[in-house]
Order: sequence, then structure tokens, then C-alpha cells
Amino acid sequence: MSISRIMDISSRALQTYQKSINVTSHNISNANNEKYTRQNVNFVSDGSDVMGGMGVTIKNVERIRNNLLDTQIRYYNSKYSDQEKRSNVLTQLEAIITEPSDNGLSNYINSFFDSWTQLSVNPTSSSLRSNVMQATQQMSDKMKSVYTGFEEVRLSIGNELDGKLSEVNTLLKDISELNRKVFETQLKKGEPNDLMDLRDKSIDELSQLANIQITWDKEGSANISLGGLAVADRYNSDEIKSTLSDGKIIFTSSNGSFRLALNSGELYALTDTYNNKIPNYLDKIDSIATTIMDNVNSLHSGGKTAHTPPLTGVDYFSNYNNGELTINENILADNSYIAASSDGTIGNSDVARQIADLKNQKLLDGKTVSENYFDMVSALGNEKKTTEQNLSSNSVVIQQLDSQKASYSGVSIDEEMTKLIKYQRSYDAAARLIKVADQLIQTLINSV
Amino acid sequence: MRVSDNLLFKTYLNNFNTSKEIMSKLQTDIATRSKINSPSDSPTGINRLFKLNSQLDSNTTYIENIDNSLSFAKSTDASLQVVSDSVRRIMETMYEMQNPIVSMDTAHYADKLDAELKNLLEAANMQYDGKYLFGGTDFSTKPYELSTGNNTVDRMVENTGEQKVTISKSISQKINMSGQEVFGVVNKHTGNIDPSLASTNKTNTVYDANGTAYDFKVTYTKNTGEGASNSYNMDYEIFSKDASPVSVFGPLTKEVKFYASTGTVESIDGKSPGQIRVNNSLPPIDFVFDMTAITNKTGSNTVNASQNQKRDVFNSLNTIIKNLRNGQKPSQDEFNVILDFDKHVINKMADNGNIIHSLDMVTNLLDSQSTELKKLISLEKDTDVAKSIMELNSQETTMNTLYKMSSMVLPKSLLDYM
Repeated sequence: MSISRIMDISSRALQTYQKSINVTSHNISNANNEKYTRQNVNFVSDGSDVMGGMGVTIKNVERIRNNLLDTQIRYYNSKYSDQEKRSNVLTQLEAIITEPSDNGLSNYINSFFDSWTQLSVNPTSSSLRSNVMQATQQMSDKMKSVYTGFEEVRLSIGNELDGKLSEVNTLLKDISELNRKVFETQLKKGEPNDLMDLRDKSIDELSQLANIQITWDKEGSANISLGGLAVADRYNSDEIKSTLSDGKIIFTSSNGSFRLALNSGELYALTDTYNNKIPNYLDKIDSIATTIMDNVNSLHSGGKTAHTPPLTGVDYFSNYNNGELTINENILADNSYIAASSDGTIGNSDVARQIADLKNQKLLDGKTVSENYFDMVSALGNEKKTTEQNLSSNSVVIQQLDSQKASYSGVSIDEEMTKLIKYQRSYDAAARLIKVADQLIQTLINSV
Repeated sequence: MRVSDNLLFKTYLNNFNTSKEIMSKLQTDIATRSKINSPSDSPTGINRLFKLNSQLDSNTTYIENIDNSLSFAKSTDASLQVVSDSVRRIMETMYEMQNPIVSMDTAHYADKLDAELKNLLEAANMQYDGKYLFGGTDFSTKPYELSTGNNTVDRMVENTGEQKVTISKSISQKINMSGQEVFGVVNKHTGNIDPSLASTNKTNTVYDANGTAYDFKVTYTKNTGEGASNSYNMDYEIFSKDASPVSVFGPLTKEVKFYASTGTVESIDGKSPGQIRVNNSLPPIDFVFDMTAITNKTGSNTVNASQNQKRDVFNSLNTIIKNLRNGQKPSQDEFNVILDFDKHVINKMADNGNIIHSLDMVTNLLDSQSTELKKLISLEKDTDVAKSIMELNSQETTMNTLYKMSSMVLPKSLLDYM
């Protein structure tokens, strides 16, 4: 073996270990970067010939990543994000209804019917008549407040969906772009590990927003399909649109020909809440209010007012619209228009008692009005509790998967420091080899 | 297992957050003293809580209603006592007049009875909280007034209405004694009308305010034609008791329908069955006709008529007074009217007493129900503060341990030793 060969081997070794130290320093500097995948230098003997081995070189800088783990994490992340978003919205809805409390609608509904019971004892009392109107107004105001609050949440969801959609489209473009860059780097024999990290980060973020499927082509590009639609690959990305159909938000491909089938992620949570959950609650409030209005009016219009002569055919409520029950303006101006009597005598309170008794009658879906409201609140509570339980169980799974990922792909400072020492020693040894080779050459030269 | 730095940090943060979440919930439970602060805290619990609170609210309203009604019923009781006392004094005076030893200063006795008549009228027109006790549901007008010239005592209002108050779920209690049922004349038909007969009639004697007798004739004629089954036209008219009778009231007609299955009265002129007021100004005839106990079944065809009193006590007494001023002592018949009225008032006082008793009983029941409901609400909702504080302390210890552990483990690495 010639002395120059020793120099060559040592020189390559120096480069190899210098690069290894670079990789180690890259790992250490990214120790706190959760999205970073640790890189490992794989050494390989740099071939051999008739003279012997050719030293060491870097085979590749390996990205330590488990694709199976990634797939599972993305799946559960999608579920988790779905449940988390639902939980947030349900928390807002719970805050609006303010139950159980004295300011809850249940209390105002009770007070409304109880005010008629009180009026039935003394139907000539102007203060008790005013009390009925006040109880009605309070009930209406609270109903309107809940209704409007729910509508505002729905509106804010609509706005948020626009932002999320924009985010999705940006991520799809990024993934497509990164696919191209990774491919180009690979063509140039480079190591696109950091680009792959960026791509994985974008895919992870996308998985939180919607249910995605990823397939890998032989060049290592990620082909993404979202909701059943192929949306991004190495060549291009689609732009997802949202449209209103029958008052419901749907997502389609850019040309509108394909409707996305979402089943998890924030987008799904928001659209399901916007399209189904909140409208169901609003419909329930509508049913409760119109049931109260129709039944009270039916009795009230058959009763007689406190005028002389008494009037009949007077409705108590004039209108219901978007959560607001409106009292007949005649009654608002003059509470003598409250028709508590059935026979026109001012002491008769049959109609007042009948209206009060509506509280106990099964007027809507086989239940009382109050029971319908209780069921609505209970259903909201149940939904939130179930969502939180799902959130909690998904959270446990994600924590475990994250732990596995952190264990597998995360940087350990201790490990890197150990490697650093190892590479440094090897670098020192390679440098010493050069010195030895130099001394050998000097000896030869001096011997001439 | 390979442990990276991120893994250590994540594990610490996850455990720490779990502990903090528990502490946050406990703090809220303690501060609000309630386990259920939102529907999701306990969806079944909140449903139960709603129902209990609703029932408690209703009970509170019922108790208030009963308190108001009890005052009314007790005022009625006091008024009936005044009536009863007055009637006793009237009877004592009339017994005195019957004693042959006592000299008959009819004017003196007329004055005494006149004073008692005014007492009776005052009691009959008593008010509570702006409502005439015996005015039925008509609070606007005094029920009884002496006519101009004091010839008769007239009933000024349709004072048959029942004041009802809701005292429990779907249960109403009548709280008043109507003027009609205490002081009025009720002409009652009972018995059966055979549906195979085309018509049935019944005549009985009624009296005007001056004591003059008349014939009150009622005819039940079966309606024919489609949809007319179990339907009768009831014609009623009052005739003078002369050799050639003259109609002084009516004829009036009401359609009476009977239930096919039970034969009882379903409706009168399309409305719920009730008493019919027969009120004529000249001659002054005023009574209530009650035929709601009549049945329409195959069988006997016998309609019985009865009248609770010949004339109302006011006009009976008024006639006695007028006769006394003319030097004429009251007859045994007139004495019997007052005697019957005395028994009637005692019965009505017992009925009113039953109303008061019933209201008292329901109040007690509602009070104990309310106590039970409050207990159930507390069980459902209230935090066990002692238990929560102990749990909070336990969690605090856990957190302190976490802090200590983390301070020992997290900052360390190989760097510290190089």
C-alpha cells in the first residue's frame, strides 16, 4: 500500500467524520423541534481493490422515521381534531344556554306558566296581569338570546370554515411543491431529509383538518387524496371549493364535479355542526316556541277580556320569528286585553287556569314543552360529554403514539453527545493517521 | 426503549396537565358548591334537576295560591257566621211572636226583623280584597239590593260562578260559595226520560218575591231527523195559577243533548251542563233551574221536581216585615222558610269548612313535598365540600411530587458532565 493511499484514506475519513459531526450538530440544534426527524449517518467501507480497503465513506444520512406510526398518528390526529373542535363549539353553546341557573330558559318557561297560575287566583289584579306580561317578555328575551347566540356561533363557524379551507388549499400547494423539491434533490443525489420533514409537517397539519389518504410512488412522492378526491401529487394540486346547497355547506373539487366525503378532521366537525347540529337545536327551539304560541293563542282567543263588554278572539302572541315571541301589541298597551275569563265575568279565571295547565300537558312529541327543552339541553350535555370522552380516549392514544414517535425519531442529547465524542475521536485518529503518513514520507525523503 | 429529550418533556407535561385539569374541576365544584355547572357535567343529572326544580316552582306557586284562597274562604266563613247568627236572632224573635202571653207590638217586631234583614244583606254583600264573597265570579256589582220602595230584594248579578284555584298539578279547588247556592232558590228536576216517548212534561209551583204562586211548566220534546239522536228541545214557561192561566214568563227553549252510552246530560245549548237562571222582573220571579241530574235511558219515565225553598230568605223576610207593619203575624209556613234556611246555612258552613280543611291539608302535603324536593335537588346538585377539599389536597400533593421529580430529571444531560 502506498503512503499516498494512506493520505487518501485519512483524508476521506476526515471528510466523513466532519460530515458526521455536521449531522450530529444538526440533530442537536433541532433537539427541541417536535417536527424534526433525527438523522443518522450510515457508514460504509469505501470499497476495496487488490491493495486492500479504501477507507470509510457515508452511505447515506438516514432519516429515522416510522411510516406506520405516521399513518396511525395522522388517523388519530384527525379524529382528535374533529372531537376537539366539536368540544370547543359545544362549550360555546353550553355557555349560551346558561343551564342550570336562574337565568336559564327552563326557569323562564316555568315562570311564564306559573304567572298564569297566580293570575287565576285574582284575575282582576292589574299587577298580576302585568306580571304575566313581564314573565312572557323575560321568556321571549331569553329564547331570543339563546337563538341568536346559536346563530352567531353558526355564523362564526361559517367564517372559520373559510379560513380552514384556505389553509387546506395552501397546504395542498405546499405538499405538491415539496414533492417536486424532494424529487429534484434526489435527482441531484442530495439528501432531502429536511424537505421531507417539511412535507410531513404539512401532511400532519392537513390530517388535522380533514380525513386524508396517502400513497407513495416509487420516487417517494406523496399522493394525497382528501375526502375521496385526489388533491395533490408531484405535478399539481387541486383547489377545494365550498358551496351552499339547500343552506348546507358542501366541499367540492375545483370544477365542482366531485363532492368530497369528509368523515373526520376540523373541516368535518365544523361542517357537521354548521349543517346539522346547530340547525337541529334551532329547530327544537322553534318547535317549543310555536307550540307555546299556538296553544296559548288557541285558549286565549276563546276567552274573554276584562273590558265592558268583554272582547273575544284576542290572540296573546302576535308572532314568532327567529327565537322571538311577540306579545299582542294591544295587550302590551292595555293588560285588560288579557282574556283570563271564559264567561266574561271578571272573577272567572278558567282560561288563565287552562293556560297555566299547558305546562303539564304533552303538547309536543308526546312530552310537555318543558320536557322537550330539558331533553334538548340534556342532549347537548350528552353530546359534549361523549365528545370529551372520545377526545380523552383519542388523546391517550395520541400521547402513546407520540411517545413512540418521540422515542423512535426524537433527538436524545445524551445520544448525540456520545456520537459527537465518537466522531471527534475518529476525526482525531484520522488526523493522526495523516501525521503518521507525513512522518513516513519524511523518513523516506530523509533516507534518500 | 429509547428515550429522547422530547419524550421526557412530553410525558412530564401530559401528566402535569392531567393533574391540573382535575384540580381545576375540583376548584369549580368547591367555589360554586355545585357538582353540575353545565349540562355536560351530568346530562342525566341535569334533566332530573330540571324536573325537580320545575315541580318545586309549581309547588311554591300552589302554596301561594292556597294561602290567598284560605283567606278568602275564612272570610266567607266569617260572613256565613254573621248570617247564621242573624237567622238565629230572627228565629228567636219569631218564637217570641208565637208566644200568646207576649203582647203583640207588630211594629216593634217589624223593626227588629228589618234590622236583621239589613244585617243579612250586609253579610251577603261582604267583600274580601275587592271581591264580593257571594258574587260568584262577578266582582263588579253588589249581589243583593233592596228595590226602590223596599218592595223586594233583588239579585243584581249572575252570582252562580265558581272561583277555582289550581292547588296541584291539573287539580282545581272551588274556593267560593256562590250567592245562588247560599241564598238562592233552586228548582231541581231529577228522574228519567224514556227515549221511546216523543215528549215528557213536568209542572211544579214556583213563587215570586211577594209569595204569589205560579206554575212552572217544562216540556222535553225529542228531536227527530238526522243527527238528532239523544237530543231534546226543552221548553219552559211560567203561568199564573188562574182559572185561565196566563203566561208571565217564556216560553224559552234550550237544546239538551244526552250521552248515548250513559244517558247523562252532555250539553245544554252546546255548552257544558249547568244551572239555568230564570229571572223575570214582573212578576219578580228569580230562581235557578237545575235539570242536569235528568237521565235519558230506556226504562221508567218519571221526572221529579223539587225546590229547596219557596222563596229566598230575603224576600220571605221582607214579606213578613211588610205583613207585620200591617198588623199581621207571620204564618207557620213563613216560619218554616226561616227554619229551613237556618239548616241550609249550617250545611253551607260545613261545606265551606270542608273547603278550608281541604286547602289546609293540601298545604301540608305541598309543604312536605317541597321539603322532599329540596332534599332531592341537594343530593343531585350539591358538592360534598369536605370530600372535594380532600381530593384537592391529594392532587396538590401529586403536583408537588411532579414538580420535584421534574426538577430532578429534566435539567440533566451528559453536557453537565463534559
